Amino acid sequence: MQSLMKLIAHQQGQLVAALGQHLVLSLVSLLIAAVIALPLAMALKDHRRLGELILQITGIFQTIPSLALLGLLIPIVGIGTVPAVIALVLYAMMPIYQNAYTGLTTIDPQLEEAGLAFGLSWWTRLKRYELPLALPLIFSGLRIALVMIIGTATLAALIGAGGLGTYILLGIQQNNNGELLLGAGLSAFLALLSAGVLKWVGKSRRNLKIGGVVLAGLLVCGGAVTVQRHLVHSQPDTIVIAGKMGGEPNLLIHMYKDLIEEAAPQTKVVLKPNFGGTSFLYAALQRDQIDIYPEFTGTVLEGLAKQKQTPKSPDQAYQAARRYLARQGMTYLKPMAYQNGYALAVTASFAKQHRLATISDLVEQQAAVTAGFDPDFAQQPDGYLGLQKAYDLKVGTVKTMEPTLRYQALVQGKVELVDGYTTDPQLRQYHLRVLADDRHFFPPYQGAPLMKARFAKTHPVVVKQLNKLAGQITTNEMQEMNYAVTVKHQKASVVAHQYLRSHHLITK
Amino acid sequence: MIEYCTVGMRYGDHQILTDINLKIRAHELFVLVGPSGSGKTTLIRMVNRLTVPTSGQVKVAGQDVAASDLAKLRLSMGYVLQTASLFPNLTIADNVTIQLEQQGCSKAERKRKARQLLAAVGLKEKDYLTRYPAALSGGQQQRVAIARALATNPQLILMDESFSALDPVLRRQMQDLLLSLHAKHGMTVLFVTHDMQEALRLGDRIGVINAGRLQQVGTPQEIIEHPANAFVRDFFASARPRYGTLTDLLAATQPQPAVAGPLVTTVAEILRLPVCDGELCFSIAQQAYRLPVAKLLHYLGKREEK
Repeated sequence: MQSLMKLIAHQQGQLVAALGQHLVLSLVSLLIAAVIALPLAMALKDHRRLGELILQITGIFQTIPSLALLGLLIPIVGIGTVPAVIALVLYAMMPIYQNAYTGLTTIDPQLEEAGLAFGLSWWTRLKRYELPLALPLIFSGLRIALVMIIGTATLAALIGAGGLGTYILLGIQQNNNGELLLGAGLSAFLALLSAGVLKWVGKSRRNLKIGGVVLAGLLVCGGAVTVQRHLVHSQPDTIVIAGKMGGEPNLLIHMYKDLIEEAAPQTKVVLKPNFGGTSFLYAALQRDQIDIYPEFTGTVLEGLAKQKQTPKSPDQAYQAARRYLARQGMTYLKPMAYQNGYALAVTASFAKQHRLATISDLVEQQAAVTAGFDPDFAQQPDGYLGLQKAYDLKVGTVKTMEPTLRYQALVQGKVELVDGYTTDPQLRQYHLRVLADDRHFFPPYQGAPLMKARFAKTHPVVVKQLNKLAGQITTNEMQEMNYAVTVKHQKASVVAHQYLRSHHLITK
Repeated sequence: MIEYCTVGMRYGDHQILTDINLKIRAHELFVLVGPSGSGKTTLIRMVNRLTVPTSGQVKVAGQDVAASDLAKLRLSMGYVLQTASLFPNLTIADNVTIQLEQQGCSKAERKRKARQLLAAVGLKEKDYLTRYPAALSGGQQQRVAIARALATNPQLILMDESFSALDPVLRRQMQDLLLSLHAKHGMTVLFVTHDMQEALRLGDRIGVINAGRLQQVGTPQEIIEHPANAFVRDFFASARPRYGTLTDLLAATQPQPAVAGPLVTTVAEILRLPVCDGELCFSIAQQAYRLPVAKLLHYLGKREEK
């Protein structure tokens, strides 16, 4: 609870921005869905067969898992706000259309006959009694849609549209229940609040008018902000740097920014932290939506190039990744020193007691050891399965557990061995020992800036500045910085700046 | 006013109406009567083209409805359904003047007209205008529905089982209202019912329909006294004794014609009327009579002797 309060105090500004982003994203999607679905329902109310068909189609949209829908949209419209809005609109169609269509087609047939027999026009009938009588149902449809949109919009963070989902994803990734609760709680609160507001708006004609004015105001503000951002982005010397989810990429992109601004102070550098996963970022880079992002050699080889055999030496791995990316029209700058690959860790006391320093040392003790592994790690050939072969390692008991729970289980003595990443701040937090990979089984994961070749050619200063990081930052230093940002909640910009200053990479 | 020329209607293999030929004259109150499923509602719905016949043609004021402008056709006639069918979200005033609104009539004019129409159907209090249908009783709602049908001063009003859902007392009141409105405005009324008492009470002329065929057309008297076939005779069998007594009374007493008088269907009703100048005034089937009390007593006395 305390950490939650601390988090809120530290991140007030970002939190309000995420809340605003979430609300605007949801309202814009709702509005677009309503603008499509309501007239459609009105147009099809007298064409039952077509109307039912559309009902089926909106139902089909509903059955596509949201993540799959986002995945389908990326090759077509890229990443960011646009695919998020499209996906949300498709989801919102069904409740809005279904309720409006049902409301308009279940009006007392005697009333409908009266309206026809009196010679009232289609428009008069719609305006004077069909819409007013269907209004309660229409509003309940809008309410259902809005609650659903606000919930689903948390997934928008995955494709770089921001919003409260950023906190949820960060919380999951960093084992930070505070952030997770904050994101989930705020989106639930937002959903309840907006449902309440819509209910109030639907109560009377006066409320409807007030609601309409407020919505128009909100949209104008949101639109103005979007346009302003767009203008910022389209300035010629603006460089957009994005980073994946988490504290470490955030630190790196702040370093990039400082380095670039040191040499080219007139350049405007825009940072997009927590922008999503590898495929989203890579797609964004290809579509020029971002200019640079930090990527790992191992990820390029296994995730993008999908190679079966990854070179064991870090330098060979980098060269292989660079060659692959060059063929894709990308430039991959020189990597930093640290490795962020898989690692096996034990507590300091356990290491001392059994004299463990390397994974080979572990083999002698293996029968007595209980391990807590991430389910992916336990089942992947480049995880425990490969490890078994490479070291002839068979741990006594393997428990698979959520990555978030591993370190706690280790500290509480429930397991003696866990997998992790070499730069995880928890290694520093709990003073854990990483067992050296003495047979070089784990693929090398070194980070380096990735950009389009065309961008690298036209921005030699940027290339020169970012190459200053080549061979810098040891694994321990990265661990320290991750610890400062994710556990101590220090600002990434401050930690990054301090590092660059103390290593004389920048002077200001 | 309305003319059905060899009209037929079939749904798939199902023949609903066969070879209907019928002329309804201007200014008359014509009742179409028949058991449920006889096709009478289908017939009335052909007039405003809610139903289109599969053969033959229907003419209103000499013009084929199939060739008329639909909106104009429908706006030119009033329509009263079985239920009041008032729009629950509109005030009484807006309900009554909805056709005027469609015609583009001004707000002030509509308000004036609504007050006048409601007064005509016996809803005089001003506050009816701004109330909503749910605040009215069933009888009041049906009065509003009739007011609504009169809104455009139509030459023709269609009424489909309009009083069938009301209780007997209310039904009687509404019948009286219709008769007085008809007497006053002289518009053509086509009224559909399955109730032969209602048909006899309202109709200037009656058309009897059964199984999609027109059985007989005539005044109430003709139908009672000279039924065209067994169906018509049986259908009106229960009505005949009461009506027969009245016919008997008229035959025996030979009363003088009068200007006006309350409508009666039984001798007992005549006995309840107020006496003025030693005479009783009443009307039977659109004809008013003056009958001296002495003659009535004489008739009743002779009946008792029998």
